[in-house]
Amino acid sequence: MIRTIIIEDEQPCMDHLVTLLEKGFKEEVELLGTFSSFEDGLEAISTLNPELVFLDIQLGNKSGFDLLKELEKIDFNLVFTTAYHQFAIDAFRFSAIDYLLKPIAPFQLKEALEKVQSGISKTDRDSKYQVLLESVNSTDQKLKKMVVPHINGFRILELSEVIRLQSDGNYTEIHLNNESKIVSGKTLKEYENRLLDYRFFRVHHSHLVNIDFIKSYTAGKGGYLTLKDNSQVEVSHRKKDSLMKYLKSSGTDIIF
Amino acid sequence: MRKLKSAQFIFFWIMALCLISFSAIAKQSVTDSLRNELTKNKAKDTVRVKLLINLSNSVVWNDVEEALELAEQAYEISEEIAYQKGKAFSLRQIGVSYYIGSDFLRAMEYTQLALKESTTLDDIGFQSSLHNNLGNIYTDLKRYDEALAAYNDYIENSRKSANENGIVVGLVNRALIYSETEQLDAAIKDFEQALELSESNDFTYFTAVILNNIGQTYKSFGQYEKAEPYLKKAISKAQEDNQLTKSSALGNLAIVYHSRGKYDSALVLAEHSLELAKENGSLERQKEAWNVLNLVYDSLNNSEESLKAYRAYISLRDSILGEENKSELTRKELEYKMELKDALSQEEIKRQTLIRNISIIGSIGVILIMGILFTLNKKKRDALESKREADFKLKTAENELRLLRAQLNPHFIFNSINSVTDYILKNDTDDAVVFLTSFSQLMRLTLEYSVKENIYLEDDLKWISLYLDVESNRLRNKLTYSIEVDPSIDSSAILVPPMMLQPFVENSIWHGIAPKDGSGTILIKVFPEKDLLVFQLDDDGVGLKENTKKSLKKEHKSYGIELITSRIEVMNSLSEKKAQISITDKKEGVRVTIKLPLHLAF
Repeated sequence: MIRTIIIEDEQPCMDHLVTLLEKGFKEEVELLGTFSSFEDGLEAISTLNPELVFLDIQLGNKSGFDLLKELEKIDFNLVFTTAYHQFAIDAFRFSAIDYLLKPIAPFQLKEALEKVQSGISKTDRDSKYQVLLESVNSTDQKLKKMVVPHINGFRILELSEVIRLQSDGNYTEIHLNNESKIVSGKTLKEYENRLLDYRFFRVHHSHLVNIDFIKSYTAGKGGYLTLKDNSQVEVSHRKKDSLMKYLKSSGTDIIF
Repeated sequence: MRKLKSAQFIFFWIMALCLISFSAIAKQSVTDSLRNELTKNKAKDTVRVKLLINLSNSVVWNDVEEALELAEQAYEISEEIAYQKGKAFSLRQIGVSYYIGSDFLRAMEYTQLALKESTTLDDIGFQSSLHNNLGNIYTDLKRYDEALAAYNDYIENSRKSANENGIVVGLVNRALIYSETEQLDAAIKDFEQALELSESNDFTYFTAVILNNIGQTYKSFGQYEKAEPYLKKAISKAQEDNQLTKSSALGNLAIVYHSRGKYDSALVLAEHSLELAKENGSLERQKEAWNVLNLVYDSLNNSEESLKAYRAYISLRDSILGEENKSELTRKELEYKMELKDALSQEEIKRQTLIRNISIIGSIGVILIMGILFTLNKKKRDALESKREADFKLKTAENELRLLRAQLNPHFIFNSINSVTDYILKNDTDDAVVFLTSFSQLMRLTLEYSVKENIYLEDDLKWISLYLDVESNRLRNKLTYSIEVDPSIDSSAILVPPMMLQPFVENSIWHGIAPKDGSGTILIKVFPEKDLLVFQLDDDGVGLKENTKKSLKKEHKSYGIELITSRIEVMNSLSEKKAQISITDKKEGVRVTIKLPLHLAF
């Protein structure tokens, strides 16, 4: 039995989640209580010592993230719930933290609970929350880190150490500036969507490049970029013009 | 009238100025002999590189595509044999070819590349010719300040290396900018200086061009008295090999005479000007000549001839306009992008609020069903939320919003809410939950996609099938559908404007299949056709004839279709390839075909 609380300030959403838990997960989940304000929720965490907290992003005029900041340590599993807060969703994706979109579908809840039961070690949890809070706090929406799941768990990367990403079917190779690489089970397109606003550019069907690592561009029919690790990345014919425009507009010091 | 520009492009390893001075036949023979040389010399060496560049130079005015290909070949060989000079010169030639093909941005890019390569060459003449070329490109983009700076560089470098020829070209080009920006005194000063140099060096060709340019400049400022002597001198100086200048000067003088009421003399000059222009084959010149003739005939009250001349002028103008338009477009595009940046932040806030409002409608509806009143408080948070989200990088507002409204039209939202109500009344809550889940996913994706100009085809098709799932659910599974993508299409590498199909699919469902007895099928096929991407939508519903009778519901659906039609019009105004829509009635049901330019992402 997972000792669980819900912190949610909208009654219907609360009712919906309670109903789903009672209907489908009576055996797995012990619901200790439901709390509809920031303060009550905070207090409940310290007194009831839950193993699992469902936490709404929006709590009156504060946020679920504010609540995390108040905590000295996080020794429980967190599942965020949100309706449509793109900035929050981006942050979750970067930190690889579970979240549920309202209205919550039974099968999604099931998946989230299965993950909780499979258990994640505490150190991993902490570092993920740290990435999450950093990405939420940075005022200019510049997320500096991302969590990359791979075969043996996950790694936290600073965007500034990622040189380029290369598609390998459904996998993506992430090349780092210490000459190592990680293979991630997400597609290049997912990374493209995530990194588009952070000085990464899709120069080719198989390549996403951190523009701060571009050393030079070689023109001609099969034009290619040389990156600072001396790797060469082909630029597809159709991406050339938009790449040039992008580089000019993002103030790189490359002279073409 | 910056004919001197072409002069500059010729400075190369063969004699300068060949291009301007040759009549078509002579040029042909140069081209042929170069081609012969090339077939003889198959070795990948410096000789071949030079031949390729020279051939490119000699065909560039007739066949830009070929010129480009030749110059690129020259570059590839130079790279292979590490021939630095060849690399630089072929890059310049690629730039020139793009310039003549009116692709000014690429022209600039390659000229800059040539400049970069030239730093290792220690060839001041070559390097400074690139500055002149850059000046020409900037002039065509109407970026006069930058053009001036480039010409100044060129003049200075030519002076340093005592390149008299270059000084003359630079001065004349600079004068033409002054003339276009209405600085008469500065223009005349440069012209006079160039004229003096040109005469003392016996550059007969240049001398005639400059005289005509001075006359034309005075003429354009309305100073006909001053213009006349220069034009007359230009006509006498222009040799057999310089008919363009002669034709131009004759036309200019015709206008001077015309302004004094000497219509008969003006007519003689104008006709002569046209004759020379025809001999030379320059469309631009012929256009101008017809324009002068139209003016003269009009003053002579010969309306028939005047109309004939005007028609000839217009048809030539339209065939040439393409080029002028292109540079105008490039300039507009640059300006527009600058303005866009400023406007974005303001539009952003407006846009956000509107998106919020639309989603408020949706969510209010859904929550109503759950029996909750949910008002001011929610709005307050949305305000907070939108502030926080205002940093988002999104694009222009107006179109997206219209699109968004169309896609998320209230009919769709409220009909969906009705469906949920219906489920609940029938006590089928599990179904209601499933429906609501996919409905909210659809809303989310709609909000995400509707702010994008293009999305990957695979995402667009996923969206359409989710939309069809939701609608088919509402129709109690009276509807089946399938989406077939031609195997030759890689939907992860093709871009399409988002949700183009939606209004048509909606039509098929609610005006084709819903009124029909029994169930119906929608089949969507996606396949390529030359350089177009075709969406073909077939339904087996009641067809057009049937549903126009029942056109009570027509208002909102035709709005959606109207919107797509106007999007297609906008697309067509921006691209050579033509998008099109056709809607036809079949024996059973309707077929809609949408053809879009095939837009490959990579």
